[in-house]
Amino acid sequence: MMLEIFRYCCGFLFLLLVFNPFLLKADTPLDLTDLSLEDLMKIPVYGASKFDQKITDAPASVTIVTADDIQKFGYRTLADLLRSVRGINVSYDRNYSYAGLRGFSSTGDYNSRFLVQIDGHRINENIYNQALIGTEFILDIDLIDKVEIIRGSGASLYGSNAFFGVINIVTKNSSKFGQPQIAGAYGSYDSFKGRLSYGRQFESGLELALSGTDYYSKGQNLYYSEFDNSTTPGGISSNSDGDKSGTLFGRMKYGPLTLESAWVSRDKTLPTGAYGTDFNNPNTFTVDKSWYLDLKYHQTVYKNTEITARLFFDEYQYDGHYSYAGRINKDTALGQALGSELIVSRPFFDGEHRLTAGAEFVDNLAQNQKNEDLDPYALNLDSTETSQKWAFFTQDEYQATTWLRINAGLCLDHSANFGSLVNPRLAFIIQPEEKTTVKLIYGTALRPPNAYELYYEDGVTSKRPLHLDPEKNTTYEAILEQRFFSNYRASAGVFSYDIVDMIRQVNDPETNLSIFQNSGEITAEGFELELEGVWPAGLRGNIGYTFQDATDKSTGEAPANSPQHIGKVNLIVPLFSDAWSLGTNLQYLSPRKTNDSSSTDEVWLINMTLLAKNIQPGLTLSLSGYNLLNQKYKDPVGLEFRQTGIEQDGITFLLKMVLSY
Amino acid sequence: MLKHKQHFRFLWVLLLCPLFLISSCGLLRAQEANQEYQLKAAFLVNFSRFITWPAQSFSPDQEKVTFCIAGKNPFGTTLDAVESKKINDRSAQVVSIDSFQKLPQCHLLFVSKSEYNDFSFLLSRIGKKPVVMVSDIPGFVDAGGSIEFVIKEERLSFIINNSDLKQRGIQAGSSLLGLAVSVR
Repeated sequence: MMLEIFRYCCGFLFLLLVFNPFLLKADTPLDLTDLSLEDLMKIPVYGASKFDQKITDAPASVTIVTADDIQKFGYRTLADLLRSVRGINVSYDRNYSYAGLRGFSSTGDYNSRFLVQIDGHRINENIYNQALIGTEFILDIDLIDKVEIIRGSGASLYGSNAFFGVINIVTKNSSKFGQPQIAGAYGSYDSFKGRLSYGRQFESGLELALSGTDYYSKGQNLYYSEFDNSTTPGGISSNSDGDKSGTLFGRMKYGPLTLESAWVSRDKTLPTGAYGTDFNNPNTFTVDKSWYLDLKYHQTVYKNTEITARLFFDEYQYDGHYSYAGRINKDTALGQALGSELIVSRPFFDGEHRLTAGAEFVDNLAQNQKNEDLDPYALNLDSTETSQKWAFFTQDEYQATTWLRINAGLCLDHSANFGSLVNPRLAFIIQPEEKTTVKLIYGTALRPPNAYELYYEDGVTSKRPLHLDPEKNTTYEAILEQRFFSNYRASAGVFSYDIVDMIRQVNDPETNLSIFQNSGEITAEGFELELEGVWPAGLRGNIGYTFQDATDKSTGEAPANSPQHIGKVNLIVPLFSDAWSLGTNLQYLSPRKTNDSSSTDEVWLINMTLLAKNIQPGLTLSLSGYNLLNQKYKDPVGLEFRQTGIEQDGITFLLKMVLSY
Repeated sequence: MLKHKQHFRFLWVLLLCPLFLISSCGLLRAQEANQEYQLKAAFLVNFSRFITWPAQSFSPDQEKVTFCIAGKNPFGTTLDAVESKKINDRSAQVVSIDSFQKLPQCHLLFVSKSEYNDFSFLLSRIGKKPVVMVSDIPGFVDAGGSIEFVIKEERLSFIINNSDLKQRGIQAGSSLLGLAVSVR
C-alpha cells in the first residue's frame, strides 16, 4: 500500500518534470554579445559555479541549506530542516527534538554532542550543554540566511561541544528583514504563527534588524496503548500537547561592530506521561527560556589579517513542572555564562600558510539545579555550581602544492575540574584536477561531563556520581567529491569512529538509583553517497544515502535509535513561471532498535510545499503538506518513558503568507 | 526476513530518482550546460570593448583583436561568433593555444579551468606583455591574473586587477572598473 502511494508520488513528480511547460519552453536563442555588461550582470547563472565552493574547500563533509531551501521546502523548525539533510535522523519525544548523526542518537540523551552556533555565537547552554532545535529553538527559521552542517568532530576549532558535528547558522542581512515584513501561518491542530520583522540600512552605515515571532499550537489528542488500563481508561491524552513559544531577535551593526541579541520562551505540555508523571494531566509541562547578548568586533587589517573579538552573556532557564498523583514536583535549572573570545587569522609565506589562533574564556556564573516538591514542601536538590573554562586553539591551512592542502588544528580546553584536554585534527585535501577533490581526515574530541551529568541527584530516582572522566571520540574519514557535466556534483565518503568512556545513565545496583558513569564504548563504520544537480529555471535536487553500522560494545548490538539506512531526496521543480515552485522531500529511515530490544517500523516520509513567490508585489504564499503518506511511525525514546517509542504526527498542513514592504 | 527486504526499497528509489532526473533533463542539459559559458563569452567581448591596448600591440599584419583560449575550450563554438563582430572598429579572431609560440599574438587570453594546476607557469611565460588575462579559476587575480570571473548572488561578476593592467600599458575604461565587484 505504502509502496503504491510512493510510486504514484514518484510518477507524479516524473510527469511534472517531463511535461512542465515552463521547463520545456525553448530558450529564445539570443546573441548575448549584443547586450551591455550591465544587462549581462542581471542574468542568473546556473551550473557548476553555483555549487558553494566552501563545501569543497572545507576540511570536512559539509552540507549547506539556504534561505531559498527553507522557503521552497517549507521547513518549520531547525529540526525540520535537519531531517532533510543527508545522514541525519531527528527524533521527537513530544517535548524536545534530538538530532542523530552517523548512527549516534542515544535515547534519553540531549543534543549535547553537537555544537550549534548563530552568527558565531554558541547556543548550547552550560547545564545540559544542550542545543534546542525544535519549536524551542531561539531563532525563527525564516530569519536564517544559511545553515552549514559540518560532519565529524570540530573540537579542534570549536571546543568540546563539537563532538560529532557543528551546525553553523548565519542570519539574514538586514535588507532582507523587510520594512517591515509580516508573516502569518495557520496549520493543522490549530497551529498559528505570526512574525513581524523590520530591517534597515541607514545612510550613516548603521544597520538594524529586529524581529519577533509568536507561535501557538493546541496540539492533538493522542492515544497511548501503554496507558490504556483501568487507572486511565481509553489511554487518550487530551489537551496536553500544547506548544507555545515566542522569540525575539535584534541586531545592530556599525562598521566592524555588531551587537546581537536573541530571546526565546517556550511552554510545552507533556502528553506522554514521561518520568512516571500523571497521564493526561496538563499540569505536567516544561518552560525553556534563554537569551543572549553578543558584541562582536570583526576587522581586516594590514596584510589580510583578520581579527575577531567577542564579548557575550548567556542565560538559560528551565522550569519543569511535573504532576505526581496530583502533587507538583518542580525541577528547575538556571545557567548563566559570561565569556570573551579573540581570534586572529593571517596568511604567511606568500599566502602558502594561513594561520588562525584564538583564545576563549568562559565564566559560568551559575550552573544551578534545583528539585523540590510543593505541598507538602520538600527540597530534594539544591545544587549551585560555578566554573571557569579556558580554551586555546590554533589551525594552519597550508597550501603545500597546487594540488595538496593540509589543514591541521589543535585545541586545548582547560578547566579546574578536568585539567587540560587536547583535541587535535588533521586533514589532507587533495585536488588532482579542478573538478575532483579527495579529503582525508583524522580527529579526536574529548567531551567533559556537563553540570547535569555531574551534579544532578534527587535522591528518589537518581544519584550523583563520585567521579566522571571526559568521553573520547576518535574519527577517521575519507571523502571523494567529483563534479561532472558542469551541473552535477557527486560525493562518496567512508567514516569510522570509536567513542570510549561514554557517559551514560546506568542503574546503580547498590541503591537502585540511576547514575551517570563512564561505561560504554560505541564504534561505527559507514559510508555516504550523494548526487546533486542544478538545472536552469531553478530546477535542482539532491539524493543522499547513508549506511551506518554502529555497535554498542557492551551488548555487541546496534545502539537504540540508530537506523542502519538513511535516505534523503530533495527536489525543487519550478512550475508555470519563475514565481511558482514545488519542493519535495522524501525521507527514509530503516527500523530503529528501541530500549526493549524490539524495533520500530521503517519510516517513509513525503513532504511537499507549493510556493508562489511574489505573486503580487511583496506577497508570497505557500501551502505545505507534511507526511503526505500519513504514515504512522514512532521514534524510539529513553527509559524515562513507559512507551518504547512515541508516535509522530500523521499528515499535517500549513498555509503561510508573507507580506514584505 | 520480510522486514529486512523492505529496507532495500530505498535502494529502488535511489536507483530511480537519478534516472528520472537525468532522463528528463538530459535534453535540456545539452542546451544550457553552456549557458554559463555563453554568458562568459559575452562578457569577454564586452571587456574588449572597454579596453585600450597599446598601439604597438597591433601591426600591419596583426590588425585584429585576438582572443586566445589556453587549455580545454569551454565555450564550444560560442566565442567564434565574435569573428563576425567589430571591436572598436577592428575585426576579431579566436585562437586556441596549443603551443606557447602563439602567446605574443594574444590581446585577451582566457585561461580555462583545465589549466587549474599549471596556470601560474603560463602567467610567468607571458610576463608583462600587453595581454589581458581572464579566467574563472578561483584565486586567479591573486595569482597574478588580470580579470577573474566570480559569481555573486547567482549573477556573473568579475574582479579586476587594474594596477597589473596599467603595468602592461593597458587602459581599462572607467565604466568597466565601475562594474567590477572589486578593483585591485
